[in-house]
Amino acid sequence: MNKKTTYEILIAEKMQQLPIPDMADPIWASIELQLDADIPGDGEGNSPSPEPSGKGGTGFGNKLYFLITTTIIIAGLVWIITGKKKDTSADKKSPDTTITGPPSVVADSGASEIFIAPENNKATSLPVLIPNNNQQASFVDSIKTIADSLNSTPQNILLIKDSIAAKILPVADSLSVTPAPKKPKGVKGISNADYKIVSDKKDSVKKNK
Amino acid sequence: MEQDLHIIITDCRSGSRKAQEQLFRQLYGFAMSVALRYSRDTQDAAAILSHSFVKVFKSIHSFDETKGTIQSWLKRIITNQALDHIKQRSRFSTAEIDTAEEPYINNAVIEATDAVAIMELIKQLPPATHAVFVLFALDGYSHKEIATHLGISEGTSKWHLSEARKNLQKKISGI
Repeated sequence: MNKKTTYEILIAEKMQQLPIPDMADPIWASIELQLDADIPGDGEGNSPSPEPSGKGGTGFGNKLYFLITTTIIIAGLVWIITGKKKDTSADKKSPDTTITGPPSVVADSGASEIFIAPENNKATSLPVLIPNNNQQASFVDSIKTIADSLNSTPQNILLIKDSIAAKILPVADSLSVTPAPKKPKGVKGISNADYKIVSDKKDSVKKNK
Repeated sequence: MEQDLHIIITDCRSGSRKAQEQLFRQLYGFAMSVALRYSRDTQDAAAILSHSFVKVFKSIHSFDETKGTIQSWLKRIITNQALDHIKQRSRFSTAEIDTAEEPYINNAVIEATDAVAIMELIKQLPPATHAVFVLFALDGYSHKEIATHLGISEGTSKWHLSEARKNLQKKISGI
């Protein structure tokens, strides 16, 4: 097993007679291509050095191009994802409870009625009822003082005269509104007792016994 | 001839493309005969040869003329390249044997057969078995060396040689 047989020696001798294909030129061309691709230059000017230009430039150029492209793509993805998150977080906020405008009123009272409304109806505007007399100025001052103490701007306070407020249309409130009556189940005229199953006959198990 | 080779090798070390081409053309016949033994066809051999010569030119600085000839150095590089090629496309069996009955082959038939025809029979062997047979029978490697080269056990190398012999006996007796 560790020694060559006679016919193997004969085969080895025969292999020396194998004709060599004439492929030297194409193989040399292939070798030259590989050497040009790998070796930047031989110092004698015998082999042209590859130009580091364009996409087919040096390995460093390709790496830089790849790095920049990847960075741009990642930055774009991060921007899109964070933008979407902001949108969804805004949607998830509790429903808006701000008063967007003065409550609907029936303005049938005289010119003596005073309505002090903020220039802009901000979210922090609070409706306040004031008495219908000549002490309005002092009342407004006292309210402003309270607002200041609460660290709130007086412009955000919505003052409504009580005669007007009395006519404010009621607003539906989830706590005060009673739910609609439950829809009755089943068929009318049939009670739960009607569904009771009473078997007069013996079941199959008992039969067998 | 040897003096010429020495000058060419020195020029190759300095990176002269002309010297590289000269060295390639001088060693082409020898290199191709080695590559052909391990390859399936001439295209396969050409690929092995071009990769081997690129390695030669890249590592010519490490070639020590005092330790051996350029031919033996080149043969080792070609053989390694060819075995890498074979390892990529085939799997070596894990079967092992210590001894095997040696099949009888009529020497007269071998002598009467053309070298190309015999090489065609060898190429019909499974790639791993083909590699072991060429390494052992044609290039004179021992089972221990083959095992180291291919990363297999000596028993596996023997199993492949036994398979090659049985296979070749069938084919040669059919001639």
